[in-house]
This record gives sequence, C-alpha cells and structure tokens, in this order.
Amino acid sequence: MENRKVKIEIINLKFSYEDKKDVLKGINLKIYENEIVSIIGENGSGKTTLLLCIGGLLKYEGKILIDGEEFNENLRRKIGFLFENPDDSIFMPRVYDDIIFGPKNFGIKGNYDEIVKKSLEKVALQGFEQRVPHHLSYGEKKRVALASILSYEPEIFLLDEPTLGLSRIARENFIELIKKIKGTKIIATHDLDLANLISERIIVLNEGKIEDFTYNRNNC
Amino acid sequence: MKHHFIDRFSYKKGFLQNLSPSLKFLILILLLILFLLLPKKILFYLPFIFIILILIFLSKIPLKYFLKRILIIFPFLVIIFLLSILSNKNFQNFLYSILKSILSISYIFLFSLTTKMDEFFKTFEDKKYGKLIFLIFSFLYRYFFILYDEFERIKRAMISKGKNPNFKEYTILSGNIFIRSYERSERILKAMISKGWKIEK
Repeated sequence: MENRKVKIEIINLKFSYEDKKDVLKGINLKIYENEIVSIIGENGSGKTTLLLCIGGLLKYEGKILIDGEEFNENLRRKIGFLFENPDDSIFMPRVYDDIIFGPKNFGIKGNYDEIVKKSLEKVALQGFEQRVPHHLSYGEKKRVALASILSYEPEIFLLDEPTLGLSRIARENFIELIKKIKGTKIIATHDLDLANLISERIIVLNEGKIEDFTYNRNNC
Repeated sequence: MKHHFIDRFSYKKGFLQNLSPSLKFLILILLLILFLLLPKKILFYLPFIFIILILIFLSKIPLKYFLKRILIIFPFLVIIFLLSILSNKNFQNFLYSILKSILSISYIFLFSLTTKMDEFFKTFEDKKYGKLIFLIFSFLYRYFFILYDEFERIKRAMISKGKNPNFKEYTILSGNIFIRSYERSERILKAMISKGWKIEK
C-alpha cells in the first residue's frame, strides 16, 4: 500500500459546528491513490463531516492535501461528492441538465450530448436524458446522482451512505457500479457488508477521532 | 411520490404542445394586454371563449379536467370582487372584471399545461440576467414537489398519531416545512459548489 502515491493527506484536522463542539478532534490520515477506504462509526461520530472537509465544503482547522497541494478551488474538479440524499444532489429540472451541470461549471469542452449519454450508460440508465427527477424512483435518483459526478471524471470519490435506502437488488447493482469506478474512493457507511465487500481499508471513527483501522486482506 | 399534474399534458402531441415556449409566452403576454383593453361588451369576449375551447380540443386536454382546475380559483375571485363591490357599487364593471380574470387565468393555465416547464425556463437562459431567472424558476419547479412530498409525509405522520390537522396543525406543519427548506437549501448549495458552481457577483 505504502508503495502507492499518497492521494489525500489529512493533518491534524479539527472541526466544530456552531451548536456542536469538536466534531472532528485532530484527524491524521493518509489515503493512497486508487485506494478504497470505508469509514464506519456511530451516528454523530463525524463521518459525513470528515467527507465534507475533504471535499472542501466546510471551513476546518488543520490541513488537507490533495496530490500534495492544499485544497483550493482548482482542485475541486478532482473530487466527486455523492450526497446521502439524492434529492440534494440532483436539483435541475431534467436529468440531462443535472449531468451536464458539473462539466459546464468546470469548463469541460466537448460534445455535451455524448458526455451525458456516456455517463448514463455507466449507471445503466440509457435514455433517461429527458426524464424529470421527481418522476424517478429512489434507486434511479441515486444512479442519476452518481452519473452527475461521473460526467466530469473526478479522481477522488466521496460517497456518503451510497447504499442507504436501496432494496437488496438495487443495492447489489449499485455496489457493482461503485466497483467499476476508477479512482480513489472514500465511503462513509453503516453498511458493514459493503465495507467488507469492497474496501481495502476500514477506518473506525468514534467521537471525532480515528479509533482503529484495519486492512481488509480479501481486497488488498 | 409521483406528480403528474403539471407535466402530464405537455408530453402529448397536440397543437399547443408543438409551438415553441417563447412564442407561446409572447402570445400569452399580448393576450393578457388585450384582455385588459377589451371594452365592456360581451360580443368582444365570445370569440376568445370559443378560441380557448378549440385550443383545448386541439391540444388534447380533457375539458372536464381543465374546468375542474379552473374552478379552484373561483372562490378567490368571488371573495375579492365581493369585497370590492362593498366599496364601489358598479356591478357591471365588476362582472366584466371577473370575466377578464377568468379568461386570463384560463389562457395562462392552458399554456402552462401544454408547455414543458424546463423548456419554458430555458427561454430565459440566454437573455441578459436570464441565467439567474432560469436558476430561480428551475429550483422553484424542482423543489415544489419535494416540499409537497415532505408536507404530505408530516401530515400523514400526524394523522397516524390520531391528529387530523386543522388550522393550528397546518401552522405547525408550515413552520416545519420552512425549517426543512432552509436546511435543505444549505445541503443543495454544498452539492452545487461541489460541482464547481460559483456565486457570481
């Protein structure tokens, strides 16, 4: 593992919300290129907060280095964040607009129709371009949310409870989709089966600190 | 939950559905101005009533459905104009005002039923300041249904615990929806920023 390049380095990360002190209490962590890491822990242990900090969406104390560089707006394109609730991730009137939102903002040139088509193919939702989000099932919304970050081809994927609320078959299909994604993946989850199935490393977060981590020998 | 009540007829292959949203919008504005200027003679209003019935037929909108939806606004019109009559006793004026209002709302409703909302919003996107209008209306459209679903869920939870909502409970529900909307807006903003969106000055 340590032969791989360090993709994300977290140094003494601390974070408090206004109404809740010390949600993260000095996290130190290295995540390697193309590594799949699961972060597990109780409700309120800081899993989502940690992902939000790595994604540059919260103002934290400490340092987070992406490819050796401190987080800045230019690095945002390297990160794809899949939020727990797909209704928070897909906010445009049509699926097409949601998927092209990222590429447009990041100034990605190319045939947008092709980009949307390929993104939908990756999540097995061919032909969904003109569908309206409020007509989709929960599982379909999750997949559209994933497609909306695949469209700009980030290198790092932050997945917050990716299998939450999915039926058994939808969950299995979604796990297969996650496995196929190329890149560094950090998954915050209560789904221990998911963590065991695909992660190389499982990190246990407890009250804002890393309590333990273990290498999953089956996936290393 | 599925919400077909706005989008359903915009997908049909009818006369109005085939017209471009910007053309429909322009015609609608001209019609509304025309209705304001129409003199108080019933003969001037009859053609517009006839035209809207033809348009409803050609656009494959069920007449019963259309009339049922239009009737919803009647109580509000009646209340407003009854209150106005108390201050001004010109009954004929108010009858024609009601007629103009009904015609205007009917045409607005017909045009919205036969127009895909996202295509309508996109007509603003390329105009000056249009991008902001496009975003605002897109969000309104998108999240109206989400908030409606949340409202229904909270209401159902109340009923399941033995309380049929009345005025006081609806007030509580509305306050709840307001707070949830605010919290949701924070999360959505993070999702937008994560995809490179920047707040423009």
